Amino acid sequence: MLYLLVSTYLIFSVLLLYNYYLCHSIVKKNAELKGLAFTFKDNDLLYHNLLVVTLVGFLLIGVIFYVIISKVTRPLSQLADSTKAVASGNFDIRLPYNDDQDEVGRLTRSMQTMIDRLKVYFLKMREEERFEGELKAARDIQNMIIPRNYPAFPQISAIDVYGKVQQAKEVGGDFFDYLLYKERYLIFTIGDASGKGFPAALLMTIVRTLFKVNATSINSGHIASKINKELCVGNESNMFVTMFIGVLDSKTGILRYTNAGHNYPLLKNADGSLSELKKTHGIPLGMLDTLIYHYDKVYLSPNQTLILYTDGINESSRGGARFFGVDGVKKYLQELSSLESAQGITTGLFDCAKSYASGYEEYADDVSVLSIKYVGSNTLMEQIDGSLNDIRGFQRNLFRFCAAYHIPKALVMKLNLAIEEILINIVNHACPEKKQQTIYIQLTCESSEFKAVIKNAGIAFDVTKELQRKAEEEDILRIGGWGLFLVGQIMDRIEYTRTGDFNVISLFKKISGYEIRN
Amino acid sequence: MKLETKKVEDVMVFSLHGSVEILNYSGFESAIKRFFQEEEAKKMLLDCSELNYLSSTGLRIFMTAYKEALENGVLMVVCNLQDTVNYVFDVTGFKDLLNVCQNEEEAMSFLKD
Repeated sequence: MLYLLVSTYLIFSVLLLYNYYLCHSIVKKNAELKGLAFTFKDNDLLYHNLLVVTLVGFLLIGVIFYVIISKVTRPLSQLADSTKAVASGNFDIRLPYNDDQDEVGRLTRSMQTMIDRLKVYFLKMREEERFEGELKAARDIQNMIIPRNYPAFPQISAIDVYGKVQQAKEVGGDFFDYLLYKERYLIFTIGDASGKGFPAALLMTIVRTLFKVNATSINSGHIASKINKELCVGNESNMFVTMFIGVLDSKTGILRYTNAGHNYPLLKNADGSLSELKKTHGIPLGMLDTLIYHYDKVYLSPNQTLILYTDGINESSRGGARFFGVDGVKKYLQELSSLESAQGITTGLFDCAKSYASGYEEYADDVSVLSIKYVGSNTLMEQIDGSLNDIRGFQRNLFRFCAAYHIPKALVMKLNLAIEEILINIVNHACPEKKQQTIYIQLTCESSEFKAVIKNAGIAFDVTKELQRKAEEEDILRIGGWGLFLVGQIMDRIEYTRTGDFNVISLFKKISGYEIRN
Repeated sequence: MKLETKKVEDVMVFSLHGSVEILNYSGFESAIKRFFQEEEAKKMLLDCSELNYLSSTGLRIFMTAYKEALENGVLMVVCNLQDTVNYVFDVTGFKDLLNVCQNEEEAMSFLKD
């Protein structure tokens, strides 16, 4: 623009000079025609006039151009500078006010409007970016507090656990959690906090923390009652949470559980069949602080799996009322092999519900599944103090252990009798001065053979020699001393070793027609 | 273990419930002893239909009762032996020693002879 103006100015200047030259040559010509010698001196006046006009012309044009330049190019160059500033992210810039109706004025005003709008837009963008960032952080935190490392407890081979959760929005109210208590009990929970999104997520975080803090008992009812009480404090918005809490003894398979308004968990049995834990112990937690929750007890046998889920699974929908349903869950689990791992069951059920709702609004609700497989063990370790109560407790575990291996009941009674005779013998004779003493028992089922190893510290007593003696005893009318005789009759083989201060008695019994399951 | 006693004609009937085991046989033992000291009846029946478990401790009581009966000239019959109890009686030879009957009727007719 500037160049154009300058060149126009130069052209005008040349034209003026040319004009001057023309005038000069005409005057000269006229003088020559009149036969006069032309000199500038003669024409001083004319010359001066011409010179003045030319110079004034120069000046005038210069001034006019200066005015035009400052009027047009300055706002334009200012605009150019401003654009640069805006491009570099400075939206606070103000253009000089210009209410002219010419192009420059209009351009300046629309530029200002554009900058103002850009500013608003970018501020909104930045806000959204910040929100997105916070949301992502919230999701990361929520994912962080849900257990993800598997195998969960490599040191406890009797239990196989696997859980999965997916929130409908970035964050949500579904959760599960578990922990190992006293290196023996798996305390676990699955829950669904009321609502969705952020409010549910906050509630879920509180409940999960309360669970972690209160999971210090094998009484699941106790844990539920404590969480309920704390959840009720100041809960004016009446938020609640459905929750299932279980405590599984890895040594015996005993499951204590409390169901606070959660849907019924399912049990996949070792023979492939399916059953339901249809017990509820109260309304969801957080509603009534005076409620005391109790618990129920079931025995999980080896390879039995407990499957817990939230209503997001059965309410997976193909639109309208076409739900996957509890029947869908059952149907899927029914067809599953009982050899499936906890991970296989969890992810399988998850994907099945997802594929059912495929193409529709997949997972309109938060969804979670937690499977706990009681793998069990072919070994039962017990430690008793020789009191009657302890012996009774052990016998109950013995019955369960035998039942898990499908040992016929009649045989179980005999095994129980033989072991009891040994235990009574130890209590009465090995340490006569004090009846209470520690006895270690280990039961194993392997290769169609039942084996019981009983160990105690006490006076050396070779039970096999005594057995020999008893077998040769001829006094049929003797009142006592039948115990070891019975043991000898029941068991196939009895071994005795003295290891350090310990008497170690091993009893063996073949179990025919019996198969070991993995 | 629970013990019920009743008298059917001249027969004293002891019904044993539960299991005679480690430490809970004292009730049974004292009842039997009382019977030998106080009762006139010369016939006794031990009904084991509700007895589901027996260890050597229980056997001890049966043997004590049997010996007492012999001394006092009392005729003692045991009936209705269940699975495990039956097994224990079998392997220990008690079945051959004691008068064991299948059921109550058989025992009653045995006692009448």
